[in-house]
Amino acid sequence: MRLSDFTPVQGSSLIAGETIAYKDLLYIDGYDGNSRKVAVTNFAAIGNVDYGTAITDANSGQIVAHTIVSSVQTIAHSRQAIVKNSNGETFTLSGNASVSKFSPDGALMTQVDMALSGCSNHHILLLDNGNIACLIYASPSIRFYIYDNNLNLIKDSTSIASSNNLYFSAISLSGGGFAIIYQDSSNQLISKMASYDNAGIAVLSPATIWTRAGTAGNQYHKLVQLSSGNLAIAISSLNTVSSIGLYYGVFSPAGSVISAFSLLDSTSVGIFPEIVSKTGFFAVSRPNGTNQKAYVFNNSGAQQGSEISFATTAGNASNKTKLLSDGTDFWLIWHRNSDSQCIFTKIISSGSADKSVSITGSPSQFNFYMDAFYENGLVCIVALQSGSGKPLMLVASTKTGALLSASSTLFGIAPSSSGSYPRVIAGGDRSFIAMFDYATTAATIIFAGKYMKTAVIGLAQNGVAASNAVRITSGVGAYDINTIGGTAVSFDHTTNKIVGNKGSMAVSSVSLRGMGV
Amino acid sequence: MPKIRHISSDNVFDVAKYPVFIGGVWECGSQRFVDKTGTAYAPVAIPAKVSVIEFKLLFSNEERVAIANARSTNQLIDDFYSLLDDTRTQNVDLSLPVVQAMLDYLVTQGLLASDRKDQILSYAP
Repeated sequence: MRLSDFTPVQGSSLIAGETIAYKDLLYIDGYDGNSRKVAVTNFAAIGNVDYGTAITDANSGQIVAHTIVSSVQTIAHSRQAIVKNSNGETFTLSGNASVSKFSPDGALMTQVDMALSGCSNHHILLLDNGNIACLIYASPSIRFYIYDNNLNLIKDSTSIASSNNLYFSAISLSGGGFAIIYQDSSNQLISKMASYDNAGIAVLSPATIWTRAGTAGNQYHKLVQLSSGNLAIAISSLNTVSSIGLYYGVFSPAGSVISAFSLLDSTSVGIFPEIVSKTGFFAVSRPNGTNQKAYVFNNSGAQQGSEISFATTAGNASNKTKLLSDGTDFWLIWHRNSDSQCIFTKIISSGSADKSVSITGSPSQFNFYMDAFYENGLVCIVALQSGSGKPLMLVASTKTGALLSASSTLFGIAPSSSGSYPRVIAGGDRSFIAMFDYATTAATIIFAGKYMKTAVIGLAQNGVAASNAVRITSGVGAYDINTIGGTAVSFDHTTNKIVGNKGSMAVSSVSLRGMGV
Repeated sequence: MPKIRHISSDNVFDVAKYPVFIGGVWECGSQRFVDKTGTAYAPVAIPAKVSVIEFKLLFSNEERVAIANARSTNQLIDDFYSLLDDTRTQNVDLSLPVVQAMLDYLVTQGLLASDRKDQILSYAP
């Protein structure tokens, strides 16, 4: 059989876990048994992971081994700077300051050194045309650069603000370009917003959006784009007089007020709040030293329900708690000091906590720096153990709110002392890509692995919407497929924990040798 | 165990496999080190395994004579060189701790300079 000789013959069907098109290459998902489209060859080729067994090679779920991208600890105050594109290519911003592009199998494709010094709060954003925006605090100013997909310079070093602005936040915008919110250089009481297009041309020149009353002090900013296109902003302020605490507001990308800044919690805390959105709503959370708090708002900025508060004195640092959305509800990961448990709390749109479940693993991730993402019913959590323990990975279900296994899965190389700014992103095909730092021996690292078992099975014989049956052909042969990302790889899932097919796949073709043989 | 050194910081990392530089990355088995130009890191050379006569010839004439004279009064040195003189001994593995300990001992006895010890351990056949 030759490419393009794809003739549906097999009659087997599986439930589609997502919208599937005719000729999509499919894998079976070990979590729910559904079939999903292979996104990246290199990620789908790795099939196994066993919770509690360290990820050390391809058989135990390793995609890209522990890779030191920088020989210094990257001080990325609001989590490490890493993004991936639909081809599975990964971009990182680390150190002082290097932009690196990796292929899905971890090969260094290109690297650009900005040759700066005193860098912190690294941000890297994937813009809607594929360009890469890099924002960084390089003492004493906030600067940005824009590169194309191959790291050719589009916009050279541009200063946004001249000083005094470590704790800014920036996001890419659905309509193109990016927005940034930061503390004014000359007056810490002033927060400014600016936006730029995909080429780095100013759309909104730095504009004051809030002037806080009281005494000057550092302000920690976070922003998120809402389903309406507007921007929700949370600011945690730190000083010792009145008019301090946690504030929120909603603004249009042009800087117009949708909902003026309002006080949520009057306690002064010098950490980044968490903020996340879903269709019609957004949520904000922050521990304040005494309680873990969370709030829900609609897109207009109207608070839903009332303040959600849990007694705890743990987790009081940036990057120790995480607020997520599964598209229906919000989920908060926080730390409860009374019993040293890490807690997973479901927060519903009406503004109340629905249920809280302990998701403490073994080894425990209680009160550790961590990050997490949601994908297809699961939350993948990565935490840095304090001291010399390896990083750990845990998986929780938003169906039950509980861990799939309480056995933490270790990965990477043990440090002498771990860091404070871990980030984990979804790679697709039930994979995770973590970027984290070690204080000693100082380093910044990426690692990619699986967080759920998968196995390539065959091709979709028909296009269906999620939750419908999709007929699958898995017979021996060579077929053309709808384009996927990655590089050409072989795979053998015939002896996986989940039995699948065997063969080789490239971006537009697959050769199958048969199921379970 | 193979090692790789970060040149500017002089940090040395134990790695699973001898470092190989491929496309901007030092591949070392369980660890990888990004190095765009291949100049930021360097593999730490593994001491060689040499024949007995090759090992003895790594020492200068003066060093060999001084060590031979010391054998009559120093049991540690005599024991080590007796092993070398045993006809069943064919090779000397310079990575073995006992060999490196003897070289250190020769340094403490004033029979070998410290930099000469480093030269012997870094010998590449």
